[in-house]
Amino acid sequence: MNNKLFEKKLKSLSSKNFNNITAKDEDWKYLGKKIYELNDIKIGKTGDIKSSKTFDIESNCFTYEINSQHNHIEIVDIDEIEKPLIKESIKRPFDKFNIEQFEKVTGGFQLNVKEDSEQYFSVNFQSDDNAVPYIGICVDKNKSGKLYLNFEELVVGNIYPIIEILLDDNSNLEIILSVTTLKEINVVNSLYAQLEKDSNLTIHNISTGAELSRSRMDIDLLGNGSGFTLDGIYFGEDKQIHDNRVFVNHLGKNTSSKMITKGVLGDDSSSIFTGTIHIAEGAEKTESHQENRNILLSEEATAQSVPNLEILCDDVICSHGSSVGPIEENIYHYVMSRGINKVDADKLLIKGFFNEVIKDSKWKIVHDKVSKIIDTKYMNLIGSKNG
Amino acid sequence: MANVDIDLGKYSLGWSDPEKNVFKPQKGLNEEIIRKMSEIKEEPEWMLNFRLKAYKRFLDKPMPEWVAKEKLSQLDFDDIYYYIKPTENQADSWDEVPEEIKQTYEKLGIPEAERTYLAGVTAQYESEVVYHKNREDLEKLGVLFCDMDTAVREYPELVQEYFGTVIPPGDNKFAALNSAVWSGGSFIYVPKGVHVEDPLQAYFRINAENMGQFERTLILVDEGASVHYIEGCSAPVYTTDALHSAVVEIVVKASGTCRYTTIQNWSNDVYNLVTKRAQAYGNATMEWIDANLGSGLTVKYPSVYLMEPGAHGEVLSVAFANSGQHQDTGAKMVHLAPDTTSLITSKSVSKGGGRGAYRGLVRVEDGSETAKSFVRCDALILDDESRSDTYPYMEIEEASAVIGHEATVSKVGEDQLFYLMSRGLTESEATSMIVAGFVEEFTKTLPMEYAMEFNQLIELNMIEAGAVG
Repeated sequence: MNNKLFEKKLKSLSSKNFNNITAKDEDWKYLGKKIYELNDIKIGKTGDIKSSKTFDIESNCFTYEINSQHNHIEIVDIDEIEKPLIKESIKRPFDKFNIEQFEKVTGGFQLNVKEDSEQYFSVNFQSDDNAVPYIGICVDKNKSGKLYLNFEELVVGNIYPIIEILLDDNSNLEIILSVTTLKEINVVNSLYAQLEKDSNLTIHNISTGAELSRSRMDIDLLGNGSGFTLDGIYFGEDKQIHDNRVFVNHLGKNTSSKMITKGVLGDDSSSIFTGTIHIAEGAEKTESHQENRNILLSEEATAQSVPNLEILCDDVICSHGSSVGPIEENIYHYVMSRGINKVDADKLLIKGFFNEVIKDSKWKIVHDKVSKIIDTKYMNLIGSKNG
Repeated sequence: MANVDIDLGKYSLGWSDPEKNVFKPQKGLNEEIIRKMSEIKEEPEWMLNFRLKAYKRFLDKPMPEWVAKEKLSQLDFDDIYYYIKPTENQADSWDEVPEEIKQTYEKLGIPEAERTYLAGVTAQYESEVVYHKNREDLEKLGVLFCDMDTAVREYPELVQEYFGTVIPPGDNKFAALNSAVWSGGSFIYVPKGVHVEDPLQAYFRINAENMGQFERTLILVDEGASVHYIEGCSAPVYTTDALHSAVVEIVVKASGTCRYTTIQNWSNDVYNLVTKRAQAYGNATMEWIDANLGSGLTVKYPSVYLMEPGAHGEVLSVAFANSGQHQDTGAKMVHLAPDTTSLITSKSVSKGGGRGAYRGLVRVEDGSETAKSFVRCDALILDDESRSDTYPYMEIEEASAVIGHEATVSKVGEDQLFYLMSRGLTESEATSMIVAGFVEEFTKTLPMEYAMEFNQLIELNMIEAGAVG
């Protein structure tokens, strides 16, 4: 393991100097007992990482299977990364959990996007034990790349990814972040992105798996004209928790951000959405919109929604909206009066609810997969109700 | 931007009379002061015990860390008078009220208001109510309206049954402080089925330097009854910090209606840390209408606990944060029963480096079937030094509840300014007009003379910090 990479960071910051995270902390609120598991990240047996240039990187606890037909992206194993991607001079919000992630990194890589590509570069994660992968992504000036980070059934240990993104001037990056793992494990990631002038970051977030699926995103829009887009869906069943925390800092002028997350919650599942749009002093001509919509399908399901705004500048357009509720009676009535039964009506309406996000052409490569998952999940809910 | 301090010359409510007090203990707080205060007030044993218990809670509770940490840390609890008795006895008629206190009210417009249509006046002048008179027809209806100290003496059963039940002393540090040292405030009881047609009113002022004001209000609206209470606050300008920490408790029984209107205009040095909460029972309606201007720091989230089916809660809140001011206001709605509904409308204006924040909570407990709540927050930022925050918490544990929240933040539209200025208005006149329009939803709910005073205050605020742009 390359411990030197984060040496500087860890020198000034040690998890010992931080208080334990608790459900009282704003960033970890509503997680209840789950929080106790996160204060001391247990990782699997760390042995030597066998790495090779073909990038079937494998450690004792996890593997990245990288679709490496693309030569427009340079892949650097964590041991060979020369310097940290993110300059530590930039003020970042760290807490004990973040620092522990850095202290316990079990492997990883950095991807450097050197040439444009319209195709998705996909990384499929596999693990049989708890792991903390590091994923650095750097996009060169004027370049654009697409990335598909896939956490599927093959991830069978808890996984705590660190994702760091640096976008140079006028660059573009589109990421699909998909968590469709088994329902027993925790996927808790910390994502930090720095955007330079006129760069754009888009994240498509799919969260249907895991017991706790948490994404914390801190986005610094440093450069003038930079933009961030997030669209995401989540679907909860059993005791699943879908936790999204999005913090967007508008620091440059003419920056924009647009966020929409939609979720359906059945059984005992719960969702948390907290986000803060922070518009710094002098960040003129900022435009920012944030939306979070939830449908509760069962009596026991819960939704917490806290979309915050902090605005220190006058020349801005800013809005946010959130809602929580069941499927509206009159819509049911409309659909069912056309001869469609309750189950099909539900299916149809849920699909319609998600369509605002997944119908977008950018979701094309995952559209079928996501539709299928939504159907299956709904049928599971019906099954669990009847059973 | 122009000067930070309010110009006393222009500030019509910002005068202060020379102090002339009968009893004045030392600054700071200890058990002895509380005992002495209770003794002077000739309070029953249970109230003294209530105060002492609350004082312990106050000492135990940490300062809240989630709001205005820096400003709150400057608050020195030892540098405040906790009780000042203004005159020996309460005056029975207007003539007996001391001359300088009368003058104060003269400036506030009370005598005229009283002659015209005020239902009753409880004006708090340094801790204790100095003058209070009920209109005779209210007495005939069985409506009780007096200051809290009198209520403890004269209606002990009613008071003891409800006092401290809506907001227990341990609720937060400032509620605990108020419970320990409260003085003055209003007590209202409206019997079953009685509708009080005209609004009941009270004015509060802080006059002695570093004088904390800890009024305590309890309003009981019995089944099917209705009342509208208006509280107006104004304070003279001082350079050292004053603390206003009130507690207002309201119980609205089944099918009752209560509207509580506050227009607050503390001067820049006042800490305004208030706990207001109401319980609304079956089909009852509770409305908080709350305007916050002035003060260095205001922390206030009027809340309604919707206890039984059909209860309805509303908060309409307007905040104007001018230079040196931090308005942390909002609302709390807690749905505890089916078919309960609530509506929160918040309007905030920030200007001259002021900070306006909406902090709200909508909580729907499991089993509150078909509860509905809607929250709307709009903010206007008038210059690039100011700040506007929105922290809306939504905690929903009921599947059939329908909850919505929408917020927008913007500056005054250039097209709106252009339109008005092309019709001959100056930029600051045009901006004032747009701001007045922005808060009109609030102004509309006020009786006319209040609406006029409020518009005047807005205009003053617009001028004081200099022209916009």
